[in-house]
Amino acid sequence: MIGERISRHTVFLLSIIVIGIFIGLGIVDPVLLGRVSSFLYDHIIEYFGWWFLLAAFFLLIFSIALAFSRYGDIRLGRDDEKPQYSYFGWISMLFAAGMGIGLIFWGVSEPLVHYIDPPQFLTPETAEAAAFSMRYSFFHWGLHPWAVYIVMGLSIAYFSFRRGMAPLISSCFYPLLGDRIFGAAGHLIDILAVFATIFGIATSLGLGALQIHSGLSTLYGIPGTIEWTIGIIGIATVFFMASSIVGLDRGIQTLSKLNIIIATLLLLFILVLGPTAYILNVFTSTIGTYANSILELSLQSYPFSGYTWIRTWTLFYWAWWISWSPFVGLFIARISRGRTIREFVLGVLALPTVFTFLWFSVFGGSAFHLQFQEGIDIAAGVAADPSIALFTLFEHYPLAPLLSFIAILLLFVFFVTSADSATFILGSLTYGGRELVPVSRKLLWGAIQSTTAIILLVTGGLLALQQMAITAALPFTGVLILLCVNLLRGLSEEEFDKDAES
Amino acid sequence: MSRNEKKRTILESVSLLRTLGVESIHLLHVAEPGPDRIAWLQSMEKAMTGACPCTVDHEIESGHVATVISSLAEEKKVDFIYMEGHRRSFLFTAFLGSTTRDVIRLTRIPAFVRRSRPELPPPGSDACLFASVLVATDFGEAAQRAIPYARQLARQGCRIHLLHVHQRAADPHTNARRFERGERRLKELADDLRSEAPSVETHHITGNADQVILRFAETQATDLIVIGRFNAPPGWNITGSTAERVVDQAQSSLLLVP
Repeated sequence: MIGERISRHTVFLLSIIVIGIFIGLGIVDPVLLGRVSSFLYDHIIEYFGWWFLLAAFFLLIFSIALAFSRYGDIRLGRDDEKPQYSYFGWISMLFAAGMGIGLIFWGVSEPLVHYIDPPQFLTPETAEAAAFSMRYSFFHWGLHPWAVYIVMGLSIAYFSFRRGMAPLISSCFYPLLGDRIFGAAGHLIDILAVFATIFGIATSLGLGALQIHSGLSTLYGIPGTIEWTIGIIGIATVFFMASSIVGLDRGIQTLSKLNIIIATLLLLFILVLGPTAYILNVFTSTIGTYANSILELSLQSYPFSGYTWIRTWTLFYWAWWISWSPFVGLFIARISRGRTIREFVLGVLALPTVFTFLWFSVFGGSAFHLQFQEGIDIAAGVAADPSIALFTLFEHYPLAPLLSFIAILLLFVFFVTSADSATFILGSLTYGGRELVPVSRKLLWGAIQSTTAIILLVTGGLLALQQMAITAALPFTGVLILLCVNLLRGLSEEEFDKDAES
Repeated sequence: MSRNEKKRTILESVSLLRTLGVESIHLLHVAEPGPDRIAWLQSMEKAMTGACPCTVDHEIESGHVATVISSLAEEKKVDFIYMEGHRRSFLFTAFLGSTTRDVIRLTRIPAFVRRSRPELPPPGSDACLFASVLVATDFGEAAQRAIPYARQLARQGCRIHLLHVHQRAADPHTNARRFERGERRLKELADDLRSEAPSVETHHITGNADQVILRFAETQATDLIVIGRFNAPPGWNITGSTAERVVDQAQSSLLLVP
């Protein structure tokens, strides 16, 4: 009924055209694409960085306040519904979609890179720089990205499961826009989401393949030619297509659970065999300084000294999380049916964050232990090439080849789950929000993702495309704030109509 | 009344008050007392007594204008507070405030605010003073208290526009049901009023309450808006309640029922 009113094809066709234009430009004139995207990206980060900080902080406060408000008991579904996925499955999938691959990549390297190259008011390679780098690693991967995802995911889940609308970002705008969501305004929001998702996932695929490739080169000495990278994308494509044909419940869920188990084992292995007490000291003290300075971290852009550093790191991350939010938001909404708002917010906010903190403490902490306690200069090599950081760390542990192999496996599976969930989301977004998207449509999106990644890898437009994806952060920050308004409108009227009916 | 009101408008308002069936008028001027003020007020009282067969007395008080007005009104157990009001721009009221608005917020007594409409009929004409009256309702408690006044006006032969502003719900399904419910209740209320007087029209419009009411009042050039106060939806409202915003902007006279 309502689904039929949304013209599925408008969003689909327009998205394809827009994507085609950008990719065409990437093939014909990658330099021009690079110029356009870096112009947009630089200006957005330069002029709206403060706005990203404010918005993300606001979204964090908003989600926590919502969880503890009287709306916290409202269920994302009918009042008597039960959660569709077990806690374990839910958290695994959350984690795989939201971070996964990035965490493996940055777990060792981010603390070390900040340690070598902190903002200009800190002296590099000091204990102070190390504490700073741990604190900022926690901050960049901690509560804020999840708060952004929560607002997006919660709005979509609320309006689709409780209010019976199609799971699209445009649906959440009904309280403000009314029937206009079925027209141009709604289409624009959805196309923007497709745009950010496809470009984001294509660059992730490209960069992820490069990382797997560099890992394989370091370990097994395979040649560093581009054919190998393309081959890796090809193999991953086969896997994620297969997983997406199998469907979300068995495909992504199984892979995500598998990955969480492997990641936890890896974490425990390093924790037990590494400097356990040292790592746990890093964990507790960084939690302390993180908690103590969360207000400052949230809003600090170092305008007087160190602004370049904030631009390169914090503001980049914030823009990235925000432009990534339609995809992750849609996905976590899809897997959260039947949970209450309180459960949703606290679960999404706390559990992945704690795991992330542990991850950074274990991998960053053991790297710092090598650096400070054992006098092995691991940081210099890592700063030169962050993608090999994890493997460099493993060299100082027993069973290094096995650990590295497991890490590559993890990367690969996270890679497959991200691509798989993106395929699912893109299919659904361009099919009026339906859950059962024809396999052909899913395969089409999968093919578009992979070919985009391959084409841009060859022409060298991958980073340009990433910057393009991030430009979507600017409109989406506005969308996220408006989603809060819509959500509050919806929630505040929960009782109103029920009372009036009775 | 305030010092800068013209004698002519005050006398005009007396004839308006007469048509409203007023029997006794208390003039109130809030200022620092001074001899010329008393003399001015006495001359006004005399002029008004001449124009109207009702009792007139006067009072000068000092203090916060709106507070004095509302507390004296309660003390004297008046039936309604009558004020001349000027239509003000949003910015003007935002910075300088408006006494009318303050009184409306403070008092628990119905308030009549006179604006440029209706124009007074020539003396001796018995045409209905309020040719067209807008009664806005959200079916809330406050709105129900305004209905007896609407009924009275309907009996006097005024044309009643019964308006319900539909607020969009959070999803299309609930929205459709809410709209239907609004239609039904509007019809019930109209049928009830029609039993007294036939000229009742209903209007059901989607939008922001204050904007819809104002736009409707202007396009229909209504003479009077009857509205219940404190109908603000749950939660706070930074720009004031619907009634307050309508008071600032409307060009028709207003009857605000608390």
